[in-house]
Amino acid sequence: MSFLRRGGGGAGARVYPRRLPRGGVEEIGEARVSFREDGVVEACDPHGCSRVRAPGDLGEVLLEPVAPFNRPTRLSGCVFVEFEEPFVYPGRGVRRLWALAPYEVAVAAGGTVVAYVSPLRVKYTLVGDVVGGSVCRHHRGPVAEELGVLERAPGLAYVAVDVVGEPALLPGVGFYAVGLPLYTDAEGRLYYPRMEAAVRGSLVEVKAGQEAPVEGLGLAQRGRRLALLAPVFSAPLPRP
Amino acid sequence: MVDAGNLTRGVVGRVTANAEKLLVAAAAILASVALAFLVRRVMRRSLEHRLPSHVYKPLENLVFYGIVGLGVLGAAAPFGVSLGSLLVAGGFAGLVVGLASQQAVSNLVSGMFLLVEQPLRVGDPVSVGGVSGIVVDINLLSTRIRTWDGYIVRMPNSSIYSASITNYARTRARRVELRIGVSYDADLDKALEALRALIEEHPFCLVNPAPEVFVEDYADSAIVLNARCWAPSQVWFTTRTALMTAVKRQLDRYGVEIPYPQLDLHIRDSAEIPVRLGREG
Repeated sequence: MSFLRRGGGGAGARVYPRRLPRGGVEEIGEARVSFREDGVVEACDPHGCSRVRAPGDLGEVLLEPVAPFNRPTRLSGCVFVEFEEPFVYPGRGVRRLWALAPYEVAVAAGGTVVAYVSPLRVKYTLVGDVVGGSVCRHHRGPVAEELGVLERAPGLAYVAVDVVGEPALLPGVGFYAVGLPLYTDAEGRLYYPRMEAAVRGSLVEVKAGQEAPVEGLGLAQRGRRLALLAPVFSAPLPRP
Repeated sequence: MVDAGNLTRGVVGRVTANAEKLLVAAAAILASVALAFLVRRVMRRSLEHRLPSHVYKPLENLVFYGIVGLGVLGAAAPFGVSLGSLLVAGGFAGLVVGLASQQAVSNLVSGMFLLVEQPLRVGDPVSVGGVSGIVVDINLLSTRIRTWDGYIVRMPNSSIYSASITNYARTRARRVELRIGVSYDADLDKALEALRALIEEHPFCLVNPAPEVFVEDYADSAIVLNARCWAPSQVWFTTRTALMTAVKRQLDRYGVEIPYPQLDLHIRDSAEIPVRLGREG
């Protein structure tokens, strides 16, 4: 994890990582991180609290957004965003969709990640069948073709998906998020990198890239490249 | 006439020459075993943290036995034993030994099949022939399973291969099922809602496949409700225990009673039953 590396250039460099000084409290959605005067770092979310004691000369702890796989326990590497209303993709070229996907916050003290908190209550889902499918972090939310339509919400980052291929009814979008970078704008909104979804027959395959979905964003989390080829997340499409 | 001195010298010479060969052979075998141990150690150190145990352990065994095998072949070379004749002799010896120790050979062959087919792998939670636990090691002859209560059970591979194996790690999710009896006086809708809410709140109860809550039975003392959800295999037990613990609290919160076993006794004849109250004496 690139926790202590500062974000690259651009607007987001000022926003992340967030610095929490001694005596400070930060609330993100349902998560709460405090760095008490007595040196105790307390990180709480809907699934519990953890406490660590920081060394006496440590003046601040850092908060950085990360992919949402650590709370309550590490189970999967993918996220599935279920659309509130399935989206009708008519085919004929690229169509960009916007949705919101959860993230978590890593808390670092003295160069070590001491806790993760989830700003939202965590749910998982199974994508595919019981034997060959994938258990993914689940979020249900709206889908839009314009970024501005989606309301900003704590604990949720914007996801841009460029859909290509055959006409289909898309119930949601799943993607592997391990090692993905996160981007941020000047107002602190977070963005996952641009995704490409290809509809082929009864499958939709989503490939997460590394580049920012829109111009002018800064890095909030560098992530790490896992392999030369980005993993492709395949999900079956429901039959009408 | 045979010259006794020449004979003695010949015998001594042959014995000396053979003793030298034997020593060389023994040294070759020992060296190969030592090398095999060394290579295994190096492999373990370098692979342990990079590969899952079910991958590196069979690899490690393969390299170990391969080196030892090569050492034995090398040891046989000074005696003028060619690979071809060794194979023929090995085949014959194998037949004899195989007949004499069918069980061991059966274990060996089963072990090979287990390594190739991999119905269970090191680290998998399994139930095999009445033994349940985590697979700790799979060798050529036997498999060791650490039971849930911490005992190590060694099972011959032949018995594993012929038994039905339940591998809990091979599915992404398993179903958690709770059966709860609620009172006949309870508000049924409220009881169902309480269980539905409990399942929806739990992070490991999967959204898909969708959970189910329904009335299963009208039993003697209670209406039996069934609440089912699917949980990732790794956290199935945790999910089940957490839900079982939370059910009572949740039903209390919703004001739904879990009844004791009850028996209503109706006396049909109007026969008098004398009952005397008060202290004796």
